[in-house]
Amino acid sequence: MAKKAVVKISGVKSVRDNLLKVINNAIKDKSFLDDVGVLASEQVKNRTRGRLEEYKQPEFKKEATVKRRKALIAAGNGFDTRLARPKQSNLTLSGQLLDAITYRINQAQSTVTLFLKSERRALIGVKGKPLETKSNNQIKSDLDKLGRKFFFISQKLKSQLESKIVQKIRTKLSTYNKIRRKLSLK
Amino acid sequence: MALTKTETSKSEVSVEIDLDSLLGSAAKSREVREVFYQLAFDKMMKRINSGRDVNGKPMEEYSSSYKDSLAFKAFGKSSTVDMQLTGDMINSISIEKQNEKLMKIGFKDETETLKAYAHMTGFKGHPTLDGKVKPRLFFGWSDKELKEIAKEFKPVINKANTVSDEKLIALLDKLVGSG
Repeated sequence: MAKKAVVKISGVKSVRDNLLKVINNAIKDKSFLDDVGVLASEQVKNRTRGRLEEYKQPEFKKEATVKRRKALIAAGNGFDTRLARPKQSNLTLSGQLLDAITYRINQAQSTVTLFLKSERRALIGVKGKPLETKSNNQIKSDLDKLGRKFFFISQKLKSQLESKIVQKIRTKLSTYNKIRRKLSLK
Repeated sequence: MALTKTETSKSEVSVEIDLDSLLGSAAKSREVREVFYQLAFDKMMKRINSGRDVNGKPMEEYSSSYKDSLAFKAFGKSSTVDMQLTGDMINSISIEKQNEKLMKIGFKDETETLKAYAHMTGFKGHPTLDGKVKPRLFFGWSDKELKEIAKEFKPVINKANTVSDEKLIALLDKLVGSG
């Protein structure tokens, strides 16, 4: 009986290891993790301010709340007259709560963590005196109790972040492939 | 013959690219196709970010009501029409189908497909905007653009420069290490 032809492929493990290294390196890259952090924090801010999708806050129910907000904006606390709304909630009066959203990265673990900076300036009352204030995290907790949640990653945003990560890996792989082509190893 | 076939309906907005004519046998490799997609996507984004459509013409300006909207201001948009407010529509673009002959690129999300359809057709069928907005043909590629991308895939074959697997792996290690 004729001997079976055997084709032995070697080096597959090295190629696989190198590809994994390329991918692993891509998602540990500082500038990439920073990009993800900036994108995520800016999107949460802007989607809330723009009252988009899951970030759209319920309307104010009490007339007194609207009046109070109007007075506080008139007293000079308004972050941006185009964005701070006395009648509709977009969690933007002084702008401090949303501006407190920031991030930290951990390159070793390839993670980006969003968090709220605690410090905030006191609002100025109608009589020109600073009002008693809480930390941004206390305000967030109060808002959560009122059902006004904003500090989360929505499905749309999650999908956008995933696309960004996939694009990054694709770009790295395209560089890897370009090198292979230039070395005529295809 | 055109290198692309487009489909623009409410349920599907896609472009089918003739890889066979563009890349020949190189399109058999999935890696090559992935690289092709990356280059095509980057080229399209460069054009969109400059406010130009698939024919290289400036895209229809934003309406004044859109410019006045809270979302437009919240995202700090400029008047350059780049089809990106949240970026969800553009980020929904992906490969729908691929083989050695063709690659079909479209929008994976139902809502984003409808948004793309509206822009590409000038809000055809919309109860209030139909006929009032000119189409923005942002999605797709001209034959010229695709041929430019395909040029990237001409291998430079020079046996004298061929290196061994070990040397290549060492070189890649160096490159990967330098990140």
